[in-house]
Amino acid sequence: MPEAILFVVLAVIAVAAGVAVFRTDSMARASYALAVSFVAVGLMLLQFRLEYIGVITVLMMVMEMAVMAIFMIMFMGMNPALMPMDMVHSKKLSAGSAIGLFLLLTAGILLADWPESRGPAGGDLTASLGEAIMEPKMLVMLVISPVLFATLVSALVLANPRGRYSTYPLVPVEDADDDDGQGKGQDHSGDSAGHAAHSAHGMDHGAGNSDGHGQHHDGGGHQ
Amino acid sequence: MTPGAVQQLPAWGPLAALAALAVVALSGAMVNDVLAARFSGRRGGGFAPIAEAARLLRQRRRSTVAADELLRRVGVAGLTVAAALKVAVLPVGAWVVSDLAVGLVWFNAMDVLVWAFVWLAGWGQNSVFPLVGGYRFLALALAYELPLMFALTAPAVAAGSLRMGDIVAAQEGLWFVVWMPVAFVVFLAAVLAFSLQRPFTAPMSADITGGVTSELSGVDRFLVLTGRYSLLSAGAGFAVALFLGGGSGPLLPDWLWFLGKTVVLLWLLVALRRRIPQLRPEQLMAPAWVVGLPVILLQVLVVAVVTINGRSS
Amino acid sequence: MGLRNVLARIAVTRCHVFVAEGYAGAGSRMAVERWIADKGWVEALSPGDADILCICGEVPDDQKDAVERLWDQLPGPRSRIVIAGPEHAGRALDGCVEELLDVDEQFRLEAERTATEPEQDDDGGSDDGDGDTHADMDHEGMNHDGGKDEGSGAAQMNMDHGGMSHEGVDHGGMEMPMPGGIGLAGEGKDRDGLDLDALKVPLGPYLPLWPAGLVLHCELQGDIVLAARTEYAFGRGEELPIGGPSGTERAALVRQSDLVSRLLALAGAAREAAKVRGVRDAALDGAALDECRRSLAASGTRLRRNWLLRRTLQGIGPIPQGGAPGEPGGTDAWDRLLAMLDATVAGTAGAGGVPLGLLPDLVRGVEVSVVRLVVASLDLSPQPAPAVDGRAR
Repeated sequence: MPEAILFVVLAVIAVAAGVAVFRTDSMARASYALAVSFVAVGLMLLQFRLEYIGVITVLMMVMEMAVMAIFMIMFMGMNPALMPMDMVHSKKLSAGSAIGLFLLLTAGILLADWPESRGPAGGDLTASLGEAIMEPKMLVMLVISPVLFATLVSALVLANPRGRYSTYPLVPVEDADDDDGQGKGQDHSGDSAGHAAHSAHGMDHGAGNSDGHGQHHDGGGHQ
Repeated sequence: MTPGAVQQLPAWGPLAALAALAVVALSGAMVNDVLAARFSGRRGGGFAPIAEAARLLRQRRRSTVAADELLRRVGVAGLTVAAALKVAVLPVGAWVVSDLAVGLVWFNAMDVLVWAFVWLAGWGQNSVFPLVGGYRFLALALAYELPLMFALTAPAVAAGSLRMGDIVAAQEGLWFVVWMPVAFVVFLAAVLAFSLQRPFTAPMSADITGGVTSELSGVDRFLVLTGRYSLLSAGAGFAVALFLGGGSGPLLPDWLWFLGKTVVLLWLLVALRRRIPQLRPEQLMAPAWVVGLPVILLQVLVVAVVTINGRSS
Repeated sequence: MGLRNVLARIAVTRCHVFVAEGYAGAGSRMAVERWIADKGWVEALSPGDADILCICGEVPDDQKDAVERLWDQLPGPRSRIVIAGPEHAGRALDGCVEELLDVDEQFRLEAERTATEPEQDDDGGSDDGDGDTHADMDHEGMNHDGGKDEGSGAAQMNMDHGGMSHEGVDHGGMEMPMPGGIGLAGEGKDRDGLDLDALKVPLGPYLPLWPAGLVLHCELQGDIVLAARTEYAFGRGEELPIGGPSGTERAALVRQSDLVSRLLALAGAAREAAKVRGVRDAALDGAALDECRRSLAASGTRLRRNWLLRRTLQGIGPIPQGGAPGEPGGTDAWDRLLAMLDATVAGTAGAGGVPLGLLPDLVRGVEVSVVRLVVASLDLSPQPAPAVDGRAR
């Protein structure tokens, strides 16, 4: 019984924090509300006795949200902190598809024919889960993991060998005049920046995720 | 007591763990002051943590215009909370507050929380220099985190488990520091980094007028400074458990050995960091990833080969 | 009552002092620093960390506002002193301790301060020249929707901050009601062509480990300085040559070791900085010049061996070769550090300072900490050297 209560509490926190991501005006708060939501999910996984996966979820998600906060603030242009801004668009379509998908998935979960467990779940659940998922391909997974990691690191080193602080030519003066001329049109660029930021948000999340996944695989080497 | 078996403490366990953490952290701060006093030729010393605490508790809290209070408070209070959560899985001798099966990963997760807390403290203050400090911390963190994760992998592979109790038990014959020195050094460097000590004090350094701590006063500042020392102490404790054999040692009970080793390591770290100049944040990334990562990966390779040979024979 | 007094007594054994150096305050500042080190106190890095505001030297009238702002930022309990000459330092600071120990008086002052806070509203408009430290954020107006000005609305929003102390607020040119009444940063082009926010931050003049009176108006993008403009806050900079020829050898030694210890402290080499400062204090006390020179030479040797410090300082602030005379051409911060030490040891120091116009080019495109290191590696202060032998200028 207390476990069920804890589960419900964590679920409510996860959903509420997810809603808060879109209701808040501050990008920093949005990222960390998302982090709270993910942490709640990670703690729920702990309740399933999938301890490794739960703790790794917490670890990865907090790390990703910390980095994502930087990107969100950078890309949301003029008001990363605090202006009331409408963060949703094409409301009818997205609400409709979200609700429809939710109903579909719920129906699937409730109506699916889940197999009965053949005995008490014992031993190391994470190990058994890992074996069940990856058993035939375990060697491939273990080899891919360092290769992926090496690729990430080399790509970074090649793309930006000295980082932002290296001596780099600054924008020449004639571009500064250009900027002034564009001053009045900046609200348009601001809006497009906002829209571009949404797609950027998706991409960043993907980038953040792949980074996390790379680490997840390396984390698989823990055992 | 069978090796690897740790006894989970009853309800008073968390309080005892917190008290132990506080005492150890305080001892570290006192040693720091003793060294500072001796260096500048003053008599005495060691009283500074108490004086600072009195001064800060007496001071009024201040805030800045349009500060994000919620985020700031979470960030400021979080450092101590992260340290406290870390010691929850640390086996002091044969006692542990929570015998989590993945204690090592929990430790890593808690110091990733420090990323969030320091950045939030920097952002929440709505001022230039704390913001720069917060971002600097993320720059440093990206650099040290991957070497830290691999350094944590090494004892886990050697012990074949992620439970802290098993890792301590696996050092019965030979302490891990003997054949994993690279992992030990990298781990200590990472401990200095996530507890914002020299050479990684860029987020709080003088050139940004104190960085993350520049607008904090009163209880907020006290929490951040306590959090730093608590994280350093927790890190020292984990270094002992992971590499220095935990509570093993003749004659005395193992919890005493553990605390003794932790305190000695903490004092060594405190003395060491006084001698190292501070790194600028952009100076860490290239050495950490281009030099540090291959070295630590080689270490993990060595450990893995030795372990597999050991198991198969 | 008893607890408060006990806390106060314990607390004043380790005060944090914010040292603001005014005009001709170098001697007082050095005396104050010495006193602080002897008593085991701490030099505060920011006013938010300080119990005592210590103003060394004199503050011209147009700077009084800035000093008041600094005073506002000290959280209570606090105390304030102006130190006119090095000999007054000890007594003045002891007086401050007495003030801090007076718990009832401090409570009363705090209550007064909290009560009057909502009325205390800085009026906008003074763009620069208040020379405050990090607190003052000067924002460009936003070109967003064609410039609606709602300055009054913003002033109203500033009222309610319930007992918290304010930062300096600047209401220049806002359009929409911004949070807290502060406009957001304007935009500027990054070197990669991105539109990033550019924030105008003045560094100085009351900044720890900073040349007295220097104001560097930076435009920051993140933590990189996009453009900078120098100014001398004490208004008489044109008359005094910056850096100034020092009168005597002893004064030159004191000055150079002060500069060196400042650079070392900023670079994070606290032990070496403290040692060089010890040499400075010994020279001020009248120790034999040869001994001081020997200590400095030993420091120089130690620093040359310190590879981490060299990596930190090398390549920073390179001045191109063959500039105007008076510029140390062809050097970077590491070279200048060693040159300062060597010149002091050899007794050829004090050859004059560096023109201020050099600075904006040096700091463009570098990070804030590098800016601080560059400024610390140059002799930019226009103060007269502390009169040690009576012949110093």
